Amino acid sequence: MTIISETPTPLLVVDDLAVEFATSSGAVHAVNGISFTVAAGETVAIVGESGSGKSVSALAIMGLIPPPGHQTHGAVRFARQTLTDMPDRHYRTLRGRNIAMIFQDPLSSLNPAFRVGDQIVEAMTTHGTAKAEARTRAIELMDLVGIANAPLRARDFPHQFSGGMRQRVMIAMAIANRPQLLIADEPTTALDVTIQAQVLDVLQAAKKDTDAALLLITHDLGVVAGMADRVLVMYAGRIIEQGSVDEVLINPIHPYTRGLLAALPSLHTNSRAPLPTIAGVPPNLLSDREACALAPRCEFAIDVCRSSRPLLEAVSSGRESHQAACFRAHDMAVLKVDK
Amino acid sequence: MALLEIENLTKDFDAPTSYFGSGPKRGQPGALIRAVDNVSLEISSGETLGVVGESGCGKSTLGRMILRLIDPTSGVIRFNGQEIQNLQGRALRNIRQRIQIVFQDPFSSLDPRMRVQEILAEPLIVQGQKRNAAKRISELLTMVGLDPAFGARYPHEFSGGQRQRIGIARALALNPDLVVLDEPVSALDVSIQAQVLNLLSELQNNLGVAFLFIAHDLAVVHHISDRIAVMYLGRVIETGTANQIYSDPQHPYTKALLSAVPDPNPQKERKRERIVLSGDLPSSSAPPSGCTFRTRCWLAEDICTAQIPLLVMNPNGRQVACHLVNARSSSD
Repeated sequence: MTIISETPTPLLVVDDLAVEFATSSGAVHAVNGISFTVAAGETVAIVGESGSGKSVSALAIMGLIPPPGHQTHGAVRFARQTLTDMPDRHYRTLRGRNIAMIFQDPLSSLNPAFRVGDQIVEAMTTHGTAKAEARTRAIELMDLVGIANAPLRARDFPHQFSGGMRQRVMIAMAIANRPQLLIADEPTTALDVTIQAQVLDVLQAAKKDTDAALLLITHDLGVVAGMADRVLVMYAGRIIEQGSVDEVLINPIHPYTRGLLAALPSLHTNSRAPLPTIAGVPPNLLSDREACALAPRCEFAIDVCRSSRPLLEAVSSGRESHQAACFRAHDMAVLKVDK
Repeated sequence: MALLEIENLTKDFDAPTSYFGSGPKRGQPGALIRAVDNVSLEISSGETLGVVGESGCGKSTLGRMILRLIDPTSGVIRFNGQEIQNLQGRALRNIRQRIQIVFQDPFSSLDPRMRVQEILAEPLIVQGQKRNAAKRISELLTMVGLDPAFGARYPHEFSGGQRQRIGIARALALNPDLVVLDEPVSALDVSIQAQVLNLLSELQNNLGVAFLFIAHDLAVVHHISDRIAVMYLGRVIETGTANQIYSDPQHPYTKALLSAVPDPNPQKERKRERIVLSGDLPSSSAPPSGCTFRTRCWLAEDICTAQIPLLVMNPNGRQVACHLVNARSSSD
């Protein structure tokens, strides 16, 4: 396994993590041995399509894998503590205080029966903040995330807020205890594009205010380009490419990353020419064959791709940070990217 | 003559009243929600008109009125020169052969208890074209890139992209002149979205069918559309060809909307000039007076509060509903 050590001790270390879901047709290998690190203050994005394992990875870090899922392998270490063998009671004190999560759908993550201000207060009192202090801080936080008339709005219920405003409340709640790590799972996917722009600004400001590291899970490569320092691309439960945003999004190596970028329609060119596509559909994760998961859909696949699995390796000896899991990585590096 | 002409189309919905009977009463201000406000548009045969806008702008209501799934409050819908907004019974059924729809959600728009061949036979049966249905069904499946043998399967056996292909096949079963596509790719992953967009372009080239393409994803609309109409709070605020709208947006809202889309190229993304709008979309039960965008517009002046801006045709065939843009272009 490889850890990129950009800082001496990364805040979060995910080491060979694997998660399975037991179903009637067999075990679904949702996450299949992924390793990565997040340094303090860093923004790392995990991108991938539905079923790539990106959300399950985030839930595994939080210790919140829903049944019938369970972790089968690997470890998650956070600030030198191993989370994965920690008793639940202990985990609970970290969750919401040191690691906080922002979910995609703010309506279902807020309690409809409680006032918004009280919910932010509760996030703090649960972790030992005095109630009076928490009340003052809740109003400050609502100000920080750009909710006008905070003292008044704190008395409103979630249904009285718009989608964008609810997501601001979620961000306020997540940073209430000044966590060291924020995990945001598709935080703007449910929002309109002009509201998305506002919420991403708020998320940046919140991150800056608390110096938190951010693990951003998204399928939107535009959001990644604007927010992240580093990016991990997942396919079929594995990381298939990683590096800085410039390395991965400007000079992608893996045919899947290239395919994803090419398949995006552009705002700037209206050629009406057919979009390049990745033929076929993602594999089902019931079987875990010794082969590259993309091979059946990959135009560059050769025999070795169908008989063994490529490891995540540096693309070139000079650039350790940029890694791809592709037998033809060196050939791909020579092939120019159109975009 | 355009295939479809709509003139001053308006739709008011009754505002929802709460369970305990509070909220506005009939006839009081706020009792009506104007979802679509005085919209006029045209679609020629074989062309794609993209309609973009954010949630609540009325784009889906517009599409549903054209299909007569919702009755307009006022205005005219002309299809091949014939007014269809008041048609009933047999006359309406005849028109419905010519206009079809593809829905957003490929999961809920197919009956889980019907085989694909039954789903595709349904429009043929309704329109009395039962003869040769089997042949037509396998033709349709081939046309959308599915194996005709799949006809015997049920919807749950297909992926999201394949289901959307089935939805498209159903819409094309009767050889319509116009298909309303309501967010047809927004539930799909990028790699599958590209496949479906390519299929739609290919089908349009082969069949000459016109599309009304409703979506919130600006890049997708740009890719597929010949012309584009931008909607905001029930009104069309700008129209033009896809290239005009994207390379030279005129209305401040269009500018803000386009500038809000992040670029997947990090270098371009860092240089992107952004207009971040403040605030949320106003409520459509109590829209602002004058220009509905003025509450979020950084250029708004007194006239924007006082008067509703009209959609004015520029010499180059573009229409913009903005007092400031139109004052500038008339003084040029």
